[in-house]
Amino acid sequence: MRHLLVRRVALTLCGLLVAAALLFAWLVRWPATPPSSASSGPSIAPVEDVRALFDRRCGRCHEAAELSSSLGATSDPPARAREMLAFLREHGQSTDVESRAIVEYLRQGP
Amino acid sequence: MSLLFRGIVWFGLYTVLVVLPLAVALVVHPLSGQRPVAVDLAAAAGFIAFALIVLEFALVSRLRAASDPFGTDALMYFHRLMGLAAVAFLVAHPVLFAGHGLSAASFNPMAGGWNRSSGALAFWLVLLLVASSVWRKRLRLGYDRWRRVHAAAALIIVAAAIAHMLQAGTYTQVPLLAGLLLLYGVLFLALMFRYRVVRPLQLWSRPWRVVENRDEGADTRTLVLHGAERARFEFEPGQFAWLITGGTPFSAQQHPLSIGSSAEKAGEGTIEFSIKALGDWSGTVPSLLGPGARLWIDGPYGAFSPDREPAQGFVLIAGGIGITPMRSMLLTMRDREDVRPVLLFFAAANWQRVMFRSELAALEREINLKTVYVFAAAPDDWEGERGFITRDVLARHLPRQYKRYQYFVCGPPPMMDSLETTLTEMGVPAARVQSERFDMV
Repeated sequence: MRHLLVRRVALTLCGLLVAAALLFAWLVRWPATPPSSASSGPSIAPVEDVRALFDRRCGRCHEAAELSSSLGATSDPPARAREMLAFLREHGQSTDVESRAIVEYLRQGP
Repeated sequence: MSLLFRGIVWFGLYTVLVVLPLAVALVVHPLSGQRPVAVDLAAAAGFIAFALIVLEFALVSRLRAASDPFGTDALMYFHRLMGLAAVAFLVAHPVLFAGHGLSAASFNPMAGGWNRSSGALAFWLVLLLVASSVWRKRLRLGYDRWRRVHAAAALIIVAAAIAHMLQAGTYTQVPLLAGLLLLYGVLFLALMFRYRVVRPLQLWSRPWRVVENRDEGADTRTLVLHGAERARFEFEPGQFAWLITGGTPFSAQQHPLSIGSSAEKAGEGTIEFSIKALGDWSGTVPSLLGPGARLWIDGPYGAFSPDREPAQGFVLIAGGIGITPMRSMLLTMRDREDVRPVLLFFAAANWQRVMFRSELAALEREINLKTVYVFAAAPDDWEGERGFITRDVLARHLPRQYKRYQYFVCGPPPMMDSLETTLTEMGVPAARVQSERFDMV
């Protein structure tokens, strides 16, 4: 009979863990940063080493060469660059100035 | 400290350890700016999957203090369920990232930097490990080989997961969280070291020797073992131990078996295990263990024991080799001169598949025992119960006060599933029904 109990306990725990993940995703952005802060907030110092910036902001998960070739592979590279910029603004932790520098770096090829 | 309280403490500790990395990530909160919710959910799923994976080993590392309140088979079952939960969280981790810049190449452990390939390696190894566990028999993977592969894969998974999180994770750039993850790695290694090195070394100087290898019929052999004084241990009737063959206590040939002898004889240094030829090891090794053969016993474990709860009487329900722990209970009752009533239901195909027949007949004269045989393939002249142990069969034999008895069920999983439901429907309180399952993998 312990097995029925174990199954119930495991299911309850899984439910609690899903709830914990959702709570984390909500709490981690609270108090919410205004959406415009990334672009209109205090800008950083001029980007001197964009390669290091890429490594810091993106390089842990993405290969520069891979992203660069995806920019060149499309029939409309400027549109792809705009997409990537929008994506960086949404996804990354870089400021607007940094995002532009990263996209330009990728366009030129690392 | 009561078993219930200890159980609550251990489960509480487990829960805290599962959510601790997530809680610390929330506190250190190194990010600023807007991010899609899916990215934070992906990070959360990754932290939970990691903690679950590391703690999987703790559940099955034979920590007696932790397994005592629950029973080892219950912990094994919990290990299996939480393993599947870990897979769900693990798969959610890259899936949630997929819409936010994670390319298909990231799943290739041979491509990209070590930061990504370590994550991919851990991901695929976890899936492989779970698949080989769930479908071990279908894949015809021997138990001993599977144990070795399972342990090696677990070690690589934890190392690769930590490497991935430290290098690819944004949260883990904070030293506190990175340190915590490393601490989980150290905990895993410490448990592995205790399980693989310390425990076998402790057993090394406590060998047991086979004094008799008896054929019980029905493809079953009983090993009678004798241990020197320092090897002996007390046990409760119904408990089990890991029998280690293969020449050293470091051997992968470690099998959980119910102790079949009387708990009252433990002090004399003799212990018995009955083994039915059901698999690769049980079908070959036991018959080769002649008198003088050296082996080791890691035990006792398990909570399947009449010693733990007060009872007015007992109902023992055994299917096939599931009679072994019941035999220990009955022999112990005889040696303790316990006069409480015992009703034993013994399911088998026919008389030829019944082991310990004469011993059970003798016990019926020595203690307050009544045995009901239920044969699935009974001969035409059989006048007893036929088929399976159903509600009708139980109702015909149970005493009027049956709801106050303790129930012990051990046999094939479908039989136990069916009986647990039947007994509940008959009004037996769930807390009075104990079952023991050895289909651990």
